[in-house]
Amino acid sequence: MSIPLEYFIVVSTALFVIASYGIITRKNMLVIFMCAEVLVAAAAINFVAFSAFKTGNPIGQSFVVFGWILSVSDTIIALALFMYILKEEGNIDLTKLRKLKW
Amino acid sequence: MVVEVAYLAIVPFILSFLVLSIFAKRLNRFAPFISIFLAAVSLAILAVSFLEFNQTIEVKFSWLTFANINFTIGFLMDKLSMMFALLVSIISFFVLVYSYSYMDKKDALSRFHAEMSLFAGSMLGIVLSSNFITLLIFWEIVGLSSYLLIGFWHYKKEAARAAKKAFVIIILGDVFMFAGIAFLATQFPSLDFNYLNSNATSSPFLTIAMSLILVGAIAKSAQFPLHVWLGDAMEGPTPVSTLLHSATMVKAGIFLVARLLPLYSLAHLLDPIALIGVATAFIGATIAFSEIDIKRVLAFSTVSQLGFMMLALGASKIGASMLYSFTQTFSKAAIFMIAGIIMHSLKEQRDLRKIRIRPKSMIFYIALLGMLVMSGLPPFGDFFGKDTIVGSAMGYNTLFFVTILFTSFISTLYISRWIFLPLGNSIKLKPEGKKKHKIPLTMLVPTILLLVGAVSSGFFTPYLFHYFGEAEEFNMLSIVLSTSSVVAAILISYAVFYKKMIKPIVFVRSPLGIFHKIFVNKYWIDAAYDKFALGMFNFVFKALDYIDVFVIDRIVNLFNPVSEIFADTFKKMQSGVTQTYVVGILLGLLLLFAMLNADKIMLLLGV
Repeated sequence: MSIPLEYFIVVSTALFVIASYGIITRKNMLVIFMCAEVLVAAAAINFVAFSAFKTGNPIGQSFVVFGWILSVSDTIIALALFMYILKEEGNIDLTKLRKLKW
Repeated sequence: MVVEVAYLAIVPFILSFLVLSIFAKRLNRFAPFISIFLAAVSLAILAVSFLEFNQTIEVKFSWLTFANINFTIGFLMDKLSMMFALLVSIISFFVLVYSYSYMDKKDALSRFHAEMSLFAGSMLGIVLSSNFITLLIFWEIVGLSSYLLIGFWHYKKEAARAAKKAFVIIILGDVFMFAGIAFLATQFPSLDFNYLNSNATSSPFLTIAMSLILVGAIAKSAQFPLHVWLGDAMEGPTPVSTLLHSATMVKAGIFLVARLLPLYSLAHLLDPIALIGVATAFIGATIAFSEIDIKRVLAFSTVSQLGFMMLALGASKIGASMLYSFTQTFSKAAIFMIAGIIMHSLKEQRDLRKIRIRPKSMIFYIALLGMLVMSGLPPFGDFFGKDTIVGSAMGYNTLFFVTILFTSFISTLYISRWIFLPLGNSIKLKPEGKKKHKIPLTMLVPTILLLVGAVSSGFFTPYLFHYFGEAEEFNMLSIVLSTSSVVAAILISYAVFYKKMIKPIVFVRSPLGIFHKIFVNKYWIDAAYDKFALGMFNFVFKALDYIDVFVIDRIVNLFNPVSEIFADTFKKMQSGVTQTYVVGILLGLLLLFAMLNADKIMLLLGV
C-alpha cells in the first residue's frame, strides 16, 4: 500500500468541509444538491478506506455501491421536485423559498 | 383418525370468513356457494369424527407462559362437545342453504355469509374449547358476530338499536364472566375444565367466581333477568334468528353450565340455577303468549325453553337437559324456518294479525306439523325432551314442578295460538299476496329435513341417555299430566283463536286483563332497565363532565402561560431559511463530536 490511510481521511474531511460550506453558502438548489452528493462521496471514501485498511473484507466497499444506488435514486426524486418547484414558484433560489416558517 | 383433529372443523368456517371479507365486492354473487361448500366440509369432518368418537381426546397448544400460569389454547373432544359441535354444524349448513333464497340478491351477501361463517366457526370453538382462555376468545367472537348479524340491516333503526341492546347486555355478562375467570386464575394453577372439575374444592372463593361466570352464561342464554335482548334480536334476518337466536348461540350459556356442572355443585349454586331456570321458563312463556309478532313469539318461547334446560341443569339432570337441547335445536330451527317462509312470501310482514295462512296449503301442513312437534305431543322429539325435564322437576321440588307443568301448558297455548291466529284471520290479502307463492326449493328442503329431525329426534332418547351415562327416567304421572295439559291447551287455543268461540278481547276486559297487561309489558323489565340504566349512566356522565370541565381543564389552564412563553421564545428558530437549519445540524454534529472526545480536546488545550 503506497498511500497511507491518513491521506484518505484528510481528503474525505476536506471534501466534507468543502461540501458543507457549499450547502451553507450557495443559493441555487441545484448546486446545493450537488454539494450534498459530494458530502455522500466524502463518506464513501471513508467507507472504502477503512474497509480496505482495517478489515480486509469487501463488505464496506460493497456498501458504497448500495450508497451509489441510493444517491442515484434520490437524485431522480430531487430533480423532479426541483422541476416542480421551478414551475410553481418560478425559481429555485433556496433563500427566496421561505414559506415554511412560524 | 379424524376425531383427533375434529377441532379443525373450525378452520373451514374461519377460511370462509376471511375469503369473503377480503374479497367482499368481487365474490358477492358467489358468497353463498363458498360458505355452503365450506360448511359442508366442516360438517363432513365433524360427522366422520362423531362416528369415530369413542373416548375423550384433549389437544393443547402452548400460547403464553407467565409467572405461574400457562395460557394454553386447548380443544376437548368429549361427549358433550361432540354432540354440540355436530348440532352446530348441521344447523349451520342447513341455515346457510336456507338463506340462499331467503336473502335478497341485492343485499351485501358477502358480508352476511362472512359473518355467519365467523359465528359458526367461533361457536364450534366454544363447544370444543378445553379451557377458559380458549373459551373466552371464541365466546367474545360469538358475541361480536351476534351484534353484527342482528344489525345486518343496519339502515333499519330498530335493527341498529336491537344490535346495540344485545351487545351491551352480552358484554355486561362477559365482564362478569371475565372477572370470574380472573378469580379462578388466582386460585388454581390451570384453567382447564377437566382440571377444575376434578381438583376444585368447595370454598367461598369458588362460589363467588362461579356466580360471576354464571352471570355471563345467563346473559348469553337470555335467562331472567338478562333475557331482554333476545326479543329485540328478532330484528335481524330470519336465518340469523334461526341459527344464532334459537338453535345454537343461546345454548352457549347452557353448554357452559353443563360443562362446569361439577364446579357448580361444589359452589352450592345448583339451587339458584334451577330457580333462574324456572323463573325464565315461566316469564318467557307468558310473554310469548301475549306477543303478536310472528318471530317474537318464537324468541320468547326460546327464552322459556332455555329456562327449562337451565332448570334441568339445576336439578343436575344433565341427560335431560342435553336431550331437550338436542330435540329443541331441530324443532326450533325448523319452526323459525317456517316463520321465515311465511314472512318471505308476505314481504317481511311480522304482525300475526295481518298474516293469513291458507288452510290446506303446503305451508299450512308444514306449520301444523311444526306446531305439533313444538307443543310436545307424544311421538315427537320435544315430548321426550320436555317431559324428562318436567319429570326431573317433580323429584326436585314440588313448587317448581307445578310451575313448570303450568309453563308447559302455556307453551302449548302460545305455540298453537301462533298458528291458529293467522289461520283464523279473515283479512283480505292484497292482490300481490293473492298470487300463488311458490316456496323456493332451497328454503323448503332444509325446513323439511329439520322437521324430520325434530319429529324423529325423540328416538335418540335412550341413545342420548346412554351417551351421557345416565339412566332414563320417565315419570308416568308427569307424562300423563303434561300430555293432557298439551291436549287441553291445543283444544282451548283452537276454540279461542281459530273458531273464536270466545273472543280473546273478553279475557282482556275481564279482571284477568291485569295479567294481559303484565305480559304485554313484559313485566316492565325492559322499562325498568331503560329507566334505571339510563338514569345511572346519565348521572355518571354528568359527574364525569363536571370533573372534566372544572378539575382537569383548570389544571391544564394553569400551565398555559408557561408553554406560551416557551413557544414565543423558540418559535423564532423556525425562520424558513433552510440553510440556517443546516448550520444548526452541523454545529450540533461538532458539539456531539467534541463531547465524545472531551478528554482529548482537554489534553490538546493543555488544561
